Parts: sequence; structure tokens; C-alpha cells
Amino acid sequence: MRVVAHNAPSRLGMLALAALLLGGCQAAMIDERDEKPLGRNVALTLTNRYPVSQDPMLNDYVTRIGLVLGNVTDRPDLEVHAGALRTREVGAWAGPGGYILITEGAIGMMDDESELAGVLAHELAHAVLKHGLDAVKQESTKQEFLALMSLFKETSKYVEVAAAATDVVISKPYSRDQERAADAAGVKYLIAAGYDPNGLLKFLQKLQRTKGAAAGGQMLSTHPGLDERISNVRNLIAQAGSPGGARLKDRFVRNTAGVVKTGVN
Amino acid sequence: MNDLPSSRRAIPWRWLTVTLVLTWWAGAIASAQATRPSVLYVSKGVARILEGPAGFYPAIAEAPKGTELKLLAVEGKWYKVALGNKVGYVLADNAGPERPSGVDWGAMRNRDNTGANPAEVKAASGLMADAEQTARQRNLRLDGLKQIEAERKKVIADTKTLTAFTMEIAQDRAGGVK
Repeated sequence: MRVVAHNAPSRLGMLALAALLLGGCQAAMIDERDEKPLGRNVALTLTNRYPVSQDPMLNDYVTRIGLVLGNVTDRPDLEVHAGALRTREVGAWAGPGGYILITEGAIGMMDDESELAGVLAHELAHAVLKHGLDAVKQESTKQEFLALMSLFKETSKYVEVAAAATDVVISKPYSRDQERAADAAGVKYLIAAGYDPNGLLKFLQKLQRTKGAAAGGQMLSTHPGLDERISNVRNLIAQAGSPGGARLKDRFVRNTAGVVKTGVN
Repeated sequence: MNDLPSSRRAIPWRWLTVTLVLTWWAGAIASAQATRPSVLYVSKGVARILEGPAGFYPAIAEAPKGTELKLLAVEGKWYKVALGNKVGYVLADNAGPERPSGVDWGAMRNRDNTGANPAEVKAASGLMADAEQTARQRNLRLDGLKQIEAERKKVIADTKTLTAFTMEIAQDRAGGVK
């Protein structure tokens, strides 16, 4: 989702990542073993950018929904961690390995649990499909970085790899194909878990309606294909036979009582 | 024997059929057991060995590619396996009977969460620094990450409440809960 707009991944970060991978680490490559450590580094960075919500009911609630969804994906052994960040900004991120974070600002736009599950399912799909890890792998093999070898001292290389890779995961927009794949998988998870997949559709429509209204006009700047995504999600739901499902409005209202609502309809 | 009525001298087809079916059944079971491998190998990345056959169970070990696992049973898409003296479940997608190539067996074997040999753990951990190392070196706060990880542990420890939470979704889907 990542609707909070940030600068493009820092050039220095990507250069450092490639330099480290191609030089400092003897051409060793990022692989699946790095998935969880990378996810923890992503979560570390985000929780330093925004504090984790101190609302125990909200954290408990978001974690439960994350676990329910995590159990119906194609990788049910993924260790899903879901948490809420205390900020009015609207955003959600997927860290590799199953670290899913959503802001209170995004939750404040929602009306029921199916919308929250929809956003979490979409983010979880990015993690299940290894989009973040793939982005890091792709950046680390670009030829333009070949000249920058041995930039860092041996002792700090692992931290520098983590910092640069984290920058890629958090800041680099997913491709249109990846967003489409995450929406398709997200709809699948929602239906398998018993949620109404229209929750994801409703939230995307709210994002579309608030375009340009957010502070600084930053919202949606990383998602130029939102119209197309809404259309795709609508088609996916129709193809699945419009199954309906749980929305759990009252449970959502109870568990998000501490979140400031922004009243987007 | 010649004094027996003709019906008693006839071939006992009923019992013969039962015997044949039982023999075939026993053979099929023996054959299935013979073809099922007793040893599996982690086939990709690092496989999590879980306490139970579902994603929300806690991991009892993390086994890198090539780790040898003893197959105890097949339960849906999960293998019940033994790793050393631990018994747990691995997703069937992550393990198979073929020993993968290109693995340092000496370093990989028997690695688990205890990380008895730090060099082996590092070899199995890839290039990424762990978050603790990053936090130390970059002077970042770890409390947020730890809070999220602790929350997960707390939630999965209370399986009864988590089950009730999941059941409410099913009930609401059926129109029973608001």
C-alpha cells in the first residue's frame, strides 16, 4: 500500500547496497536466508520513524487479524507480525518475512474490520510473494554499481547491507504487476479467511476520493495506477462469485475506539 | 468329507474374497510405507519447524536448506518431523526427499534456535545484519520492534481467545455476529 509518499530510495543507499554486495562481501548474494532479518530491519526503521501505538487493544486486534490472514496464505509457516503505528499519516508497509505495519491514520479512514483486513491482506501478499526481497535482489545486481566496491569496512558491512536494503524495501514503489499480484492474492486470502473482499475495494475507493486532500498532497503519489487497481479488484471479486463475508463493524469500532476517525466515506 | 452336503463342499467364495481383499489392503499399506521416505531435507531458504500444523504456532527451530529431518507423519500440507530431539511440523513445500545440492552439510546440520556454533549461525543467516546489530550501530530504538514481536507471542499463547476471534469471523460471515 505504502501510500505515505517518501523520497525515492536514496541513491547512496542503493549504491552502498550494490557496492557491498559486489565488493565488500565477495560477490555474495542476498537470498532467502536474509528474508526475516531484512523484515526485522524494515520494522526497526519504521518503528523509529513512527512510534508503535501504545493502545493495547488496537495492537492486540491488528495482530489477531494478521495471524488469521497469515494462516490462509500459500506460506502459512511465515511468522506474521502485524502492528499499528501512531501517526495521522496514511500508510501501510510489508516487511519481508511477514512484518506488516499500518498507521493509525489509515485505520481512522476505515469503517469495519473487512477494510482493515483488506489492507493487511494486500500487504501480507507482498511479503508472501517476496516482493520486497526481490526488489533488494534486483537493486543489488545493477551494473552501474560495479565500480563502487569495498566502500565500507569489513566490520560494518552487514549493518550497511541491512540499512541500504531496508531503504529499498521502504522507499522503492512496487511495480504495477506486483501491486496487481498483491491485490489478487489479498482478495484470495480475504475470501479464505471468511472476510468480505469488498473491504479492500472500499478502502481503495476511499484512497481515491481523498487524493490531493491530504497534508502536503503526498497521498497516493506512489500509486498512479489506483483507478486500474480498483477496477481489477472489482473484477477479481466478481470472478470469485461475489462471495460476501464478514465485515464485523461493531468489533472494529470496539477495538479501534482509541483511533482518531477521519470520516472518509 | 464325502458325507458333507454339497453346499459345504463348495468353494467358500465369501471368505476367499474377504481374504483376498485383506491381503491386498495389507500389501497396499506396506507398499505405501515402503515408498514414503523416512528422511526429508529442507529444500529452500530457512524452514521454520513449528509446534503445530498451522502458521500461528510458535517455531521450535529454524532449519536451513539441506537440514536432515526425520519424517514421522504427513498431515495435510504439513510434515510432522523430528529434528534432533525436537518434534514439530514443517510445511510440505519446504522439505522433500531429495538432498539439495550446494550445501555445506557440516555447517548446516543440526542447527537450531540455540545456535550452538556462532560461525554456523552466521553462515546460515545470509548477509543481513540482525536488527539488534543495526540498532546498536545506528543508535536506533529497538523497543517498537520488540513490542510488536512480544504482542504476537502474547496473542498466540492464548489459543482459546484466538480461536474465538476466528470463530466470530465465520459467524459474522453467516450473518450471526455484528
